[in-house]
Amino acid sequence: MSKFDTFIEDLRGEIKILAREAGKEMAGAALKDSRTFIRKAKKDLERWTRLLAKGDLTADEFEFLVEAKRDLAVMEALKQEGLSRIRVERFRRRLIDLVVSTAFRVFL
Amino acid sequence: MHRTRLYLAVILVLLAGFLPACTPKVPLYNERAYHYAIALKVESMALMGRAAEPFERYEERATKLELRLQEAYEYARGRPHNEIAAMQWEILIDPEGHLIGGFLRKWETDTTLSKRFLQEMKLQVAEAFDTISGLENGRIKPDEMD
Repeated sequence: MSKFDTFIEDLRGEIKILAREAGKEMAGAALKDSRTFIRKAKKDLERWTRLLAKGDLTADEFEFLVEAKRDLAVMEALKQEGLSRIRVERFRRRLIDLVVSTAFRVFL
Repeated sequence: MHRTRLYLAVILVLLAGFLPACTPKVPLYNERAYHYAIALKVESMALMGRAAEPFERYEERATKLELRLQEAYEYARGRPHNEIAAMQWEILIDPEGHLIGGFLRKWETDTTLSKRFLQEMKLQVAEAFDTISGLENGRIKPDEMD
């Protein structure tokens, strides 16, 4: 087997591992954050509904809070999009490092 | 040996061509941006806690806070490839919205706000700031580049 074939084989194996780890990391973190947000939002809306029924919040205040929650949901979604892009960038950097280190290991 | 060096040279030339085409499209961690999110969260919480009192007593403070929030937004907007964080700030400070910008507008319009309402709004606004600091804190740090 030529050194170039060895390089390709080694790289293929390492990339599989890297991709699997990166995939797990991306899916896991986003899912956990989303579930936490939804759980908190549900609790908040239930509490506000009770407060409205008791008269501790006016209809106007209740509506404002619901709109605030909607704005917050958009901000959370933006955060997840931003973190997702960062994870892709981290993966790209690790891939480049992997290619360079494998090349030096095999050829030098 | 000659062929080995040739292969290595080809790989490195390809990488050299690949790298600039894929320059990061995400900003790196920025201490000033993180500080804006944390400091303005603290200032906002402190001022919101006063909203059961007449707005006119805190009008100057509210104006100063609005200016600082605008400054943070403009800073976010000025960073390359930072449109996501800029959009977050825009939503947060929008006086037509329902987070800190909208809250200050409502306080001014209604003169005073109920304690229950402002307590609940503080939770939402705090969480909103946390989405911004959370994104910034998740960015690639300079020492990760070594």
